[in-house]
Amino acid sequence: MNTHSHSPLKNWQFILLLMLAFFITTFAAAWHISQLQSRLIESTAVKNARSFSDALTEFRTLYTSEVVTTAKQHGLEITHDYATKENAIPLPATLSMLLGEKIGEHASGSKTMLYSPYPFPWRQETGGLRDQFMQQAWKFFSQNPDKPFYRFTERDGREYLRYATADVMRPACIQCHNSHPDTPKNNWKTGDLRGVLEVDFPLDQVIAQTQADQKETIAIFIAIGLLGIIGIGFVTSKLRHTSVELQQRVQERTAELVDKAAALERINQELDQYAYVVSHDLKAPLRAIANLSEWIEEDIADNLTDDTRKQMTLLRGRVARMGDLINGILQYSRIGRIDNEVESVDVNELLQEIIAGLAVPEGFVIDIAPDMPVFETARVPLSQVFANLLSNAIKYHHQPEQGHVKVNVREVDGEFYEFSVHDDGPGIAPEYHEKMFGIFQTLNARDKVESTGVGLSIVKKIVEIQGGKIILESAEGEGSTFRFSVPKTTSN
Amino acid sequence: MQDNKISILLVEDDEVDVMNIQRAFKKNHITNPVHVAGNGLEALAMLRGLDGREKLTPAPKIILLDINMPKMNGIEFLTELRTDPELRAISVFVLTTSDEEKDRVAAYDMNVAGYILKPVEPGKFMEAVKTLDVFWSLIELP
Repeated sequence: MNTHSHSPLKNWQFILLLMLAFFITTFAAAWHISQLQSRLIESTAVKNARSFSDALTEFRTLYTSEVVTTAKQHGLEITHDYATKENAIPLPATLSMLLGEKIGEHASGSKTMLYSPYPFPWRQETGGLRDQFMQQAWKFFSQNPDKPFYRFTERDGREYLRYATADVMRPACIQCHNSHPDTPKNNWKTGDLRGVLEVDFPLDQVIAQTQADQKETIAIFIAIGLLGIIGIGFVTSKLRHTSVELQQRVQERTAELVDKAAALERINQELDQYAYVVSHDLKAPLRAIANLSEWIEEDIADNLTDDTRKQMTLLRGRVARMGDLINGILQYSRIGRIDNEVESVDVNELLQEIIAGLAVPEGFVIDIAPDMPVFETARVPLSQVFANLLSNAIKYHHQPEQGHVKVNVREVDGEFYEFSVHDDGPGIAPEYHEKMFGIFQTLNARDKVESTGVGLSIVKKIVEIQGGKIILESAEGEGSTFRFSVPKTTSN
Repeated sequence: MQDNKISILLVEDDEVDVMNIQRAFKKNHITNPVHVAGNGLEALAMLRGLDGREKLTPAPKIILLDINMPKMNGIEFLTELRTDPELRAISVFVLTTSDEEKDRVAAYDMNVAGYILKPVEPGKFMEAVKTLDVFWSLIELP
């Protein structure tokens, strides 16, 4: 009944735990997705920046090789202030910057910058390493000219990707750079780090896009979460409903079983009581028959023939047998009606006592195994079982003067002692084994060996009431072994 | 038994059992007067001289008592007997078929002098009565 008051609490704990686990999982998944998205934002931005920067570099290289070289041969001047001069075209760097600016106007405020510690005089203001990022980039590229250098930064409340690549001195540029009248440095070699090309990309658009996506994802997660909670609630209420139903059904069934068990016990008790009363009531007239027949015999002793005398003897013999049968029923009905006290029983001692009380014929040997236990059990029933089995072994032996009985014991499953009584008597054919344990069953005609057929039924009833089992192993001409088990700890 | 004046009250409802005891007494030459009551109520009436019955005088010093009887059984009779100051000293021997523990315990609780099982075989009962006679001759009854 304890489980009644505990189970709802446990249910609630379980549900709470389930919900918690569910929420944690949901939030972990949402967090993971947002992480993925921010990484996606970054990688998208970097990719965009790289292609933009690559395009600019490609354009400049192409412009240098295809336009500037030819223009020079035709006498055109290549200068940063091409707009104010005649027959002049812009320097590759100048044009590249211009292109970057033009694209930036279209593409959401991206900026292009070209800088180095060696700016041309006219770019003294804008071409140097003016901030930390630029200095870091220059330092980085002096080590790794092949890799891009980028950082995500914030400027004026907007997030930017500053993506920089190394601008390396190419063969096509080197002559011009070393010979230009305004050059800040005239010993350039091919492969020298000339400057840094930086593209600044605002992340607004990418972020806006991914944030929109994220909102959708979160919305989906919330929907899933709500559905999950509803599902858990539904399943739980269904389960509780079912468990209440089951509990009720179990209670009903248990009540039925208890009723049936009680009824069965009552019937059993009634049956035992009935057997007891009947056998008592049967005894009185039986005694009367015995007495009266004897008195008749005494009174008419002189008129009796040998035949009638024999008949009177037979009559009393049958009366005596009926008395035995009634006593058998009484004994049988008494098993289980009487509570036997549990005490420490030394089985070897018990067996010696029983054997001393039996009429063991000369030459009949009873061997008791040396490992008989001492254990807590009811003494009287165990004694009855051994006494019955041992006296049967003697009584039904075909050669009592050289009979041999062995009593052994072994432990079974750690919970039982299994005792065995083995004789080398005539044995019992397997087809009779079942019958042997029934009440009033005998194998011999009752006149041959006087027996009631109650003994083994009593033995079986005793063994089973104690929670054990009894089996017979035997075949004709091979002796018999009765094995019975007794619980090591008897609750009585 | 030497003292022929001591009378015995047999409380027994089975006619054959009454005959049995009378026969056994005869065989063992027990000549004390034996009064027979069919149940506990009848026995009490005889002991107290009620219900138009003559009071047994002298009062019996020995009662042979059956347990299973109609109207008032042996245990109920014993209970009544032991509360009566005049009758409580009577020596009671239970003669019964009931070898049930609870009957035996109840009887000894009422201070019975002996609890004898009626055997089915006639010979054994003869033995029992013989033993009783020897016992009665040995002890001093009140």
